Amino acid sequence: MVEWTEFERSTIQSIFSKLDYDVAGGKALARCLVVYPWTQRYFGSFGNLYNATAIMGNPKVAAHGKVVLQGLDRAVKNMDNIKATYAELSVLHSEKLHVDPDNFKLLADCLTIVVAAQMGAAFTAEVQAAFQKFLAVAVSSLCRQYH
Amino acid sequence: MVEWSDNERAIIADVWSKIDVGEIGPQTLARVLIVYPWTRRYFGAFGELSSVAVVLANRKVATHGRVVLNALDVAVRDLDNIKSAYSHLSSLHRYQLHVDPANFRLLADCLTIVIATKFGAAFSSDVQSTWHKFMAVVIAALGSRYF
Repeated sequence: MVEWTEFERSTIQSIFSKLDYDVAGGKALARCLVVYPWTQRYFGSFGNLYNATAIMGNPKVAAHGKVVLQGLDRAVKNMDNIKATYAELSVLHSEKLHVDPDNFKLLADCLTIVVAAQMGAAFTAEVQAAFQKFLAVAVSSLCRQYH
Repeated sequence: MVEWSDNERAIIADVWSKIDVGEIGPQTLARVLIVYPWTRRYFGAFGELSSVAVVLANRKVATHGRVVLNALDVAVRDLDNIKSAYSHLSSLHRYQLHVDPANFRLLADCLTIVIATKFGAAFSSDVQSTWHKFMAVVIAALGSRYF
């Protein structure tokens, strides 16, 4: 089982408590679609994804980004049980959505950059380490049911 | 050969012009050593690296961070020739320093995060996209003599 220090727990809670879920998830997902354009293939029904401006302004991207962040929130509220918390989500991504699990890391990286840009100097090396550890556990749990 | 649009060239030059190597180099290398602790094995001669505070205060880390970031200047100034410009550096890392090339990506990730903390919202998805491409080319060039 993953062990979390007090610093890591409080850092994760603090970061997510300061995130506007209506905005941050959409930003991270939009960046993913811009920086790693092959990920657009998963969102054929989202309409205009032709350029960065269109993607950043696309309401379906924003809405789905919020869904993703709310999914992450479940891990934030269950840090000692992320694997079990995500078991169903993992099956969903594998069996129904057919998402290549490499993409989880790409989205995690984009969310890290959104948070880093928002927090500025407050996103210290220690905070970065805690945040990336949390995301690594979330990603690993999402990959768990893929076989 | 890698193709760069005029926009990409302008973005890279602009980002680089705003980077203070003396400030960003040390921060970037320190983050690598903190967030990915196994990388400390490459720096046995640097003295104390056993805690976050110590890494951040370590003068050899700071100096070496500047060396690494200064070397990026070569790539910025010669975007059309990064592979040949880095040929000898690649051999150095392979044959003398014995650095696992996976670590180049870790450093690039930390540099990107430091830039994001500094630039905030100005690190837009277009800028991130271009910077990511530049980092990917640098990483590939550094790995080009490894086989």
